Amino acid sequence: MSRPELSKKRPMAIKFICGCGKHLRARDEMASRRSVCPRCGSPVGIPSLRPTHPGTALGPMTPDERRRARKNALPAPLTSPGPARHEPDRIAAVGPVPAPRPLNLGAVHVLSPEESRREAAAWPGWPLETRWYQCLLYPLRAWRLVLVLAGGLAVLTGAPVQILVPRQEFLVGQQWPFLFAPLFVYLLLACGFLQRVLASARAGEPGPVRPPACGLALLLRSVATWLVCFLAGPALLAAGGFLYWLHCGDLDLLDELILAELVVLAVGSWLLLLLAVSQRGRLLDANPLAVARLVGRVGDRLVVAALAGGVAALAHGRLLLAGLEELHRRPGMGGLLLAGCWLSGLFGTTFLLRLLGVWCHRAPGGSGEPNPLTSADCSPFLPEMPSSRLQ
Amino acid sequence: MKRSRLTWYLLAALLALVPVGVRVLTWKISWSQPVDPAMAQAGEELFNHEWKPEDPLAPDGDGLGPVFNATSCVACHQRGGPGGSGGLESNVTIFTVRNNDGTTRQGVVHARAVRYQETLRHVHPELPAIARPALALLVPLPGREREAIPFPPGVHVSQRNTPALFGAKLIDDLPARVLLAQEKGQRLRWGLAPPESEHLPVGRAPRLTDGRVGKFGWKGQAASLADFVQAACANELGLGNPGHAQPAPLGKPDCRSPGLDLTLEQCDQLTAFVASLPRSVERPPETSRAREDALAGKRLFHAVGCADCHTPDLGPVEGIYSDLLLHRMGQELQGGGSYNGRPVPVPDAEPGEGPLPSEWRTPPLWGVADSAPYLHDGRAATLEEAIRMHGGQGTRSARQFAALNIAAKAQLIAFLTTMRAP
Repeated sequence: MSRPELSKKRPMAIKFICGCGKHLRARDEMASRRSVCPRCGSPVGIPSLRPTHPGTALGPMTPDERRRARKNALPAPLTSPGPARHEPDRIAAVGPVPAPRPLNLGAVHVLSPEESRREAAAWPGWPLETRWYQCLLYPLRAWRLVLVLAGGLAVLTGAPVQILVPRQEFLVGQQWPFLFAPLFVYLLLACGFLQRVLASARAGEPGPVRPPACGLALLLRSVATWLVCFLAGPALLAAGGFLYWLHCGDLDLLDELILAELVVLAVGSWLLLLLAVSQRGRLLDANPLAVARLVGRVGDRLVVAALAGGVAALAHGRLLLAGLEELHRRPGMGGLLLAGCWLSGLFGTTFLLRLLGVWCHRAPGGSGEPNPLTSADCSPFLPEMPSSRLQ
Repeated sequence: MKRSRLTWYLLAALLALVPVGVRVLTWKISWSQPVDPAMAQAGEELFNHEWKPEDPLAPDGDGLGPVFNATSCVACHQRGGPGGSGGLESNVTIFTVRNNDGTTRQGVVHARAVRYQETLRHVHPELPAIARPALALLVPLPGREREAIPFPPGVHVSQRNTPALFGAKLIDDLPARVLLAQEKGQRLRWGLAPPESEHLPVGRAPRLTDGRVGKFGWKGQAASLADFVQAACANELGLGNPGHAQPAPLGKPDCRSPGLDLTLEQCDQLTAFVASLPRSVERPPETSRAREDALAGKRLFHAVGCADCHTPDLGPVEGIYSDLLLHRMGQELQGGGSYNGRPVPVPDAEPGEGPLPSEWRTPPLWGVADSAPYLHDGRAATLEEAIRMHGGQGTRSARQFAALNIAAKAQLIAFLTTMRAP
């Protein structure tokens, strides 16, 4: 049976297990190629779809078949833990073994070699960034998305204040949180977009950001990642900052300093936790140890950049508040401030996530090459990425 | 190398903690001091004392006067017991005059005098020579035709009703940051609306010129109970004290007292007595039907938006039904002037200086059932009238109340009448 025919019958994916225990999946186009495990970072060989012996049926072994194969096997070093070994080769040595059954896993999408070549040819002038300032161009490549998201967020933050607050009857009875539901939904979209930017950079993908193309479940997963990272530490700092602001009375210089520190720390730690989680796609990595490991690998510049992001977030937060205040006095000016704030904020966040992601990608042990599994694990808006051939 | 990095991180963390450490060391904690019973007892005698010119209790001063509104504290603070509110007969008349050169002159037209009686003519030559104008001459009262005095341009005359003093210590003990937190919370709730909003119930804490936050008085003009008591002694009784000099008659600005009428100890005794007054209580009706009505009224109180400003709890003080913030109450409720010398802008002044004429501190509703008449000058004889007269930031609540049916209105009033003087 030729490969195209196989693809028609079992078109979707390969399922296999890394030596670290992580269950991995890949499309059948990735068969016989090498990639990197998103959990342990070790190189893994993706099993072949071809029968390893003439006359062998395709599909995974049943447990009985597996037991029989082990009994009949020669005394080969089956217990070898080498995770990067190409499994079909090893099994081929012990006798006729069926190839693993390709599984239907639509979440992982990797370009075929032909598509990959086309993709690289389509963006010849946009290689992976090597200097930080080159990342400034990245948000411009996605200017439509950034513009749409910023405009939507500006409208959705300004509209309740401008339209609903003066009509106080809407706000009686604690119903007002529901009025901000569209804003929350839009924030989810923005969150999904930013998560895609990060996953794309982490995988070392050149080219532009693509619009959302995946389902709600993956979007929610992306939002859950951001939420978990927020709750894993920054939430405490943010809540502490809010309570301190509320109860400290009139702010003097010392209070301003404390609040600024809390905001910068909250945003900075949030970014670092997001990066730590994006390394292996595990939410359990949202902890200080994983962050410390990441910083040890990438360098102190990661911390500096994350804290700089916190400072920028502080400035944008103040601008947002000023815009909301101005809406009550001069709606036009307030709207402009809000739009500018969201636009600048999304631009800056996109740039920063791209920069941090590329740093992680280029750092020692950071795969150094596109990792479809990492991106597929994290991103609902997974961009197609070129894959590397085995050897 | 690793140790060096760790050291740098530790140093940065320590540096970041410096502001927090300084704040922890300088954080002001206000402890509530218990009232000394002996001081309170002495203060009670002063509170009930009928002051006279050349009073023996004021050996260094001239005693009562030269101008005054009453001869004792209890003469005004008597509704619901000593320390309660007062009727229209004890209203204080206050004026503001804007001069042609842009300056303002303000003060009190005292009702009585030992000598040099003050009248409205001292405020402006075109006004009648009345010492104690009836409220009906100044503002339209429900059910009465206005017998208005024609005020010249730039002249504004209004009155203040005597507030109840029950529970004053609880307010005195409130840290200023509680009021400021209330201010911030209201702004957040209403989409960061500024306090100059004429419709949204966003209040602002009254800030005095010395940076303190005002908690007492209709305009929040006194930051502490002691200040409030001393200002009242000087302005209402003409008893000069270390905190406030006694006022000179309007026609005799050079009239001076030979010395202070009250010592600081006497002021403290009076303050201790006022601080010892118990807080008002919420007394549920006796019958179950009436209790249900009151409960329904309490829910309506929140539903129509009364609780936006009359917040049931303020910090640790439960059942106060006030945010103690200044709110703009509309043009109909304007009243400028001040009786303890604090500058109050004229109606078209820039906001942010002192309280505007339309700005009033939300009065606590505890004991409201026993503190009629209502509003700053007592123009509302009943609670229903008072609610209806709310303008400015209270407009929506007044409208929602007006839209209730008769039974619901009665329930809300029934709830308010459960709040009695102690």
